[in-house]
Amino acid sequence: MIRHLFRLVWNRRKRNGLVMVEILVSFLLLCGISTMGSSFLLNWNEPMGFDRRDVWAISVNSGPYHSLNEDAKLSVRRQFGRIEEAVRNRPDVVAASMQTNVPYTNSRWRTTFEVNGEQVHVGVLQATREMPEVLRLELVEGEFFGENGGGEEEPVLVTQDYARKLFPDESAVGRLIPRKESDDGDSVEDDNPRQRIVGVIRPYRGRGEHRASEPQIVRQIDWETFRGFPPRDLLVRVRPGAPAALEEELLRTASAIAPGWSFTLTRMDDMRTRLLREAMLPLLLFAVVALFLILMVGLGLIGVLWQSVIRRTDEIGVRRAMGATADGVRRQLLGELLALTSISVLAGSVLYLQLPFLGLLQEPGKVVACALGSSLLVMYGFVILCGLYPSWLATRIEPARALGYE
Amino acid sequence: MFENYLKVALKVLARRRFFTFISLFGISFTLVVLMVLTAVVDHVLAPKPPQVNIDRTLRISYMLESGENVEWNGEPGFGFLDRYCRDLPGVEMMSIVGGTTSVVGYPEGRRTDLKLRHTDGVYWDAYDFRFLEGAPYTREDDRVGRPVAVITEAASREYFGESPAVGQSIALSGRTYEVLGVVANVSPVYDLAYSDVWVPIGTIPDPSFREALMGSFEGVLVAESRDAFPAIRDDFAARLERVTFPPEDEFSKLEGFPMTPIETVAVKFFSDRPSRNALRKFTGMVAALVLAFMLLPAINLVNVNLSRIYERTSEIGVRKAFGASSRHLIHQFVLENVVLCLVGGVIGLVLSAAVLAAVNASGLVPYAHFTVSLRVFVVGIALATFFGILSGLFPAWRMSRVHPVAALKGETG
Repeated sequence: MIRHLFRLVWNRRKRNGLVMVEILVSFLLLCGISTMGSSFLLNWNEPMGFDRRDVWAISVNSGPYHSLNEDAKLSVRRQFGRIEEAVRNRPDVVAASMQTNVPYTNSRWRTTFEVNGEQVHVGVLQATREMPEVLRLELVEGEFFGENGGGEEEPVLVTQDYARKLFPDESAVGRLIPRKESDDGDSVEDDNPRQRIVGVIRPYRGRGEHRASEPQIVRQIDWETFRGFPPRDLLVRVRPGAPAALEEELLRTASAIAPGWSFTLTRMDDMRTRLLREAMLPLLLFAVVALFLILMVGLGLIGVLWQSVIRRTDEIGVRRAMGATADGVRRQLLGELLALTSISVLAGSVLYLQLPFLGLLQEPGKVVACALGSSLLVMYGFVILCGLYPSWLATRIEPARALGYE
Repeated sequence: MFENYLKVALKVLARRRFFTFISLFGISFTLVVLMVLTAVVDHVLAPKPPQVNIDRTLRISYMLESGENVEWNGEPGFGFLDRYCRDLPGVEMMSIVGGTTSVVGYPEGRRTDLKLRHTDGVYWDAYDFRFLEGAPYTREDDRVGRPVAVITEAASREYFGESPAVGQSIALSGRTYEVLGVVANVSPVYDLAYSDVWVPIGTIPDPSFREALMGSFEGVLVAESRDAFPAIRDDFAARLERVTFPPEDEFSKLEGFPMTPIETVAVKFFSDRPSRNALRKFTGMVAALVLAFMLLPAINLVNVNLSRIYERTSEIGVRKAFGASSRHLIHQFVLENVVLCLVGGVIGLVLSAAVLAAVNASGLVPYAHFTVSLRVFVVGIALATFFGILSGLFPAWRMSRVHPVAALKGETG
């Protein structure tokens, strides 16, 4: 039966070809929407790894930094330290710390590590002492770094996802982070102290609820010896229900220390709302356009099937005259449609699965499977829906009239 | 002849309403998406206030500074613009404009979030803002660093309520400015013309930016006419050769060129090195995306058309038997399809106007007034015709190949 259906489709391949292309393209479009949808839904309920409530971010604009000489750079950094201390001492402030890779922003410090032949992007979260308290990071094992030891080795924290990549089978605490190796096998960057993992924290999802976590390495900042670009954001945890007047007071405190700089305060709740809105809008637009396209394809499909039923009146008439039931005719037409869809969908699935293999789609397998599954379900359901009316029309064909049809 | 084709086309459309509906639905939807996009682009690039000079504007907005092992892409610095870019030949005026930063004010304890932009005094001549109150700050204000500001109507209402703003002082992120003027609200799509508050560059306290070759400023060159563009670019390239770098600097080379506004969009989109090819690459990409978007509607229309053609085989047979050539038939059916697409195009225009009105009303893009302009109309009609030819050729060709004898019998290949 099934082989027969495929043969019928094959015999009419010239006429069916474009319909199949159309179904293929719509299927790929569906895969696109459902990949985004699955990625959103699967990420949404995962824990964030930090607590955004009652956190305010003060962005510090101190002017150009990299063009300054070393002395001027140091005095800028000391100024950062003084501002932190002053803000920390205000009433209603629980903790304050400057840091990079602030949650709900798009700017990121990253480095790329090769772990067991795989390229891993690792966020470099540089922060001062109170940062774990500001963001309420959760320890999985080990400890937060207390006072900076200043020894030969640098104590660092890593997130759980990074720890698993580095040391899949054992505890990461107490281990050294492997050095990058240069092409000839020697380790590079020898003037930097080696980094020892003192604690492992939960995966950090600073890019927002809709994105997966990104491995992070957390380095503690000492303003005296810091090198590179310093963070520009001071994160402050305030007591729940702190008054709006505190915002102005914190800004005044900071301005009093560095009168020439400018400061902006944003509540992390607002940053989150803004980021999510910015992320959702283009996706929403894409989804609306794609759904309209698929609706259009559906209408077109109904038209094409309808026309083909009319054209095949005599064939269907013969089948009815030879004793086929109305149900049998309907089943044949829907079966042909499903056979046709299966060919397209199979080609579509093969094409779609190329994306993760070629590295063009960097979503975990769970998302890909979920997206493919839901696309298949929706596509078959949709095609059957489109075929219902034309196949019902076919069952209405009376054999006597059909055989006399010209 | 043409009239007959048209008559037949309209008759056919009226015959099978459901098919006509399917075709028109697809065509008008496709054109709505494309026309709304065109309307947005047209709105952003049209020479309307405040960007009245956009047609003859070049921007120095994206440079590449490089040394032996380092590269830095980004906006040029004030020092470079001030020292090397003044008095280019054919340039009527040059304005130096900073980026926007977020600032907060607390009028009577309420929190107010605003965008602030640093500009020089020439800015107010390069752009044509509508002043509701007061006047802009001058070049002299900028030179001496007078703490004054121009704000928008919306910012004025938010900060001062109903009372007039001119002459009052506004405190933003720890600094206080005297308000000199209030301008009509500006939409964020106007890029360098957009902000809530403008203050002179001279008010920036830390003077280190005055020397920087790279930084966060842009140069706006208003040329005497577009014809002066090549000369400006040539002279600019010659000046790049003369740039001197601080002795301890790791950088030794500066690249870039004055770009038209659309080139700026393209170069920033790729955020790669400033390349003259960026615009070509960008338009190529946009064209490819538009074609890809039109692919599905086109296949759909071809399918529906093919189905329609099967029911007209006897008509084709008759025409062929009476000597119509394949070419004639192809002409006729492509024309029919174009007529169909133009009808869809008109529906699409009406729908686009509705969509744009909804976008304007929703406040999705603040203070924007997207409209279906004449240019959008022309583009819409052109797209409809192109789409009609694209989706009409294949069915017409298939149809023209039908053998007359078979066609008369009602068979199709």
